[in-house]
Amino acid sequence: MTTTTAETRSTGRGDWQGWLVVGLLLLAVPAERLLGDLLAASAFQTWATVFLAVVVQSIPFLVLGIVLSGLISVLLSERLVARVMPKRTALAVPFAGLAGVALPTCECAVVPVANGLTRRGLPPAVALTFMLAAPAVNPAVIVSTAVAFGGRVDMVAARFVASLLTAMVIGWIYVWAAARFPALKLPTLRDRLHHHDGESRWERFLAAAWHDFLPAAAFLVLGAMIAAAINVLVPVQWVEAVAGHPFLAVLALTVFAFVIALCSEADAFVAVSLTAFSDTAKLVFLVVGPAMDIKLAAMEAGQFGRAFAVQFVPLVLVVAATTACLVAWVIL
Amino acid sequence: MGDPVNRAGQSMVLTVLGAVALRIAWTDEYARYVNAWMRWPLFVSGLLLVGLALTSLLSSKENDDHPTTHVAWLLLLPVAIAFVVQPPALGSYVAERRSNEVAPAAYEEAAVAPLPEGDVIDLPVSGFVARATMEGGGLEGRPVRLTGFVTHDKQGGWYVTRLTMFCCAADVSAFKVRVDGAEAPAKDTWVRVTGTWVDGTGIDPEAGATPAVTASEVTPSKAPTFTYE
Repeated sequence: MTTTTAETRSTGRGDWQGWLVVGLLLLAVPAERLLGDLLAASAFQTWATVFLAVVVQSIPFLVLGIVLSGLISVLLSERLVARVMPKRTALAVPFAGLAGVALPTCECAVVPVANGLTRRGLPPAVALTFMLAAPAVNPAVIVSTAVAFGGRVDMVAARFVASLLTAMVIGWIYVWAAARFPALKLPTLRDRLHHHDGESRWERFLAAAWHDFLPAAAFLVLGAMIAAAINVLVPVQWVEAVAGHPFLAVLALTVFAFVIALCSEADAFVAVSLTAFSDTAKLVFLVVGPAMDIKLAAMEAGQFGRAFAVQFVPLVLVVAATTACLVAWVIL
Repeated sequence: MGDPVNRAGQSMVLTVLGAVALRIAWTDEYARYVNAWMRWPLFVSGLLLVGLALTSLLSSKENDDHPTTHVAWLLLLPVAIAFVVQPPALGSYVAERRSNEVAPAAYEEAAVAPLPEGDVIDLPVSGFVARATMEGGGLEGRPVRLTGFVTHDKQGGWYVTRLTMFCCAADVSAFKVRVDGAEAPAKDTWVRVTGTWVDGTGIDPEAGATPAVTASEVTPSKAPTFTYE
């Protein structure tokens, strides 16, 4: 592995990296003078505000996710996980989906939590189900959906059912296909923290926090950069141009939900304002968004490996959009 | 930059990111980016991040067996933007690209609550837009005072405008009221407009219709701490 070489290299350059940060911060002042005109442009400033807003908004949720993930590393032993879970992984999938009700946050917190669960020996398919379901089925999101849609019970129920189904279908696909198709990649964990097993609980908690925070936050920043650019550059009117066509409308809102990467507690308010679209298309927007968007895709590539994300991201998009259409056909 | 980030670099990144969270929560800057209830969670997370960074100083062990991905350097971008650009709250650039949006939640209160008594009534811009869609909602002939920033359109008209926010500045909606009978102030200046509803304007929200007021007085105003309604 390259880690060994990287370690030997980086010990020699330890101070180098610290000074780089200091240098960048010092350079910031002359840079502001030089780039003043560009930095003052409205389009750039709007991008900067939206970008910083997405990052600032997700920091507390990410920290919460890291704390939960750390607690899981400390309190949950692999033996306990093995005892509590149903013996058959396929049966564990619906349990994991419903367990998502207990994590009332939006999606940023859930990726590190799923990572922590897999690290404690939860089958990957089960952790993925939990990760997909939690941001969409928890009470905070149910309430905000109800408020946004003026108390429409059918919309709230349809979102809950479709999101839960999406998460379970993906879980079952990974349970069923992992054994049969070696081409389907399971999430890879960079480090299972085994070499920390002999240490105290506090040390293991810190080790998990160190491991999880920086990759998750860094990839979130990457996603936020793109999402903010889309937010500023693509007016909603462009998306609305195809609202009348049933198939294109679903496709447009799937892509829109993916690139705009809204918080699952806020997306219902935006969905309501897309008045030109049918309820089916709005439901697709509400089901796809929490399950998969550009910042989640970036975070998942960082946590679980690029080979996994390349298959997982399109799979979730297709399953979520299809499930939402079917549920809308039955309920709405 | 291709090197994995060592423990010293990681502590540095965590510290400055924590500092950004603390600074934004400590000053009023958080109001530009996120909802008011985010202030304390943000403050606590900032403390935790700085605390986590400090644990690497206190630890006696050689901890460089945990280099992390070089993508971690990206975290310096929000830090640089927060300290150098200090982007302002969203304003006319966003609002001029949107039309009034239908958000039933904002409309519910307007539908239930009758207009308060008084000569001139202070109304939120979103509330005024909501009432106008209800065939006026009791606005007929009542002088109102609206506070917001100025946006223009291509035909030379101008609007008193507010943005509403649910979680963060990525999910804002725009609410605009056209102002008749007064010279257009400069874009993005904050004004207090006193006037009465122009009968029949803005009653069809599906078409993104914009209500109008005939202004009797337009005075400059200070931007509020919370620019979002």
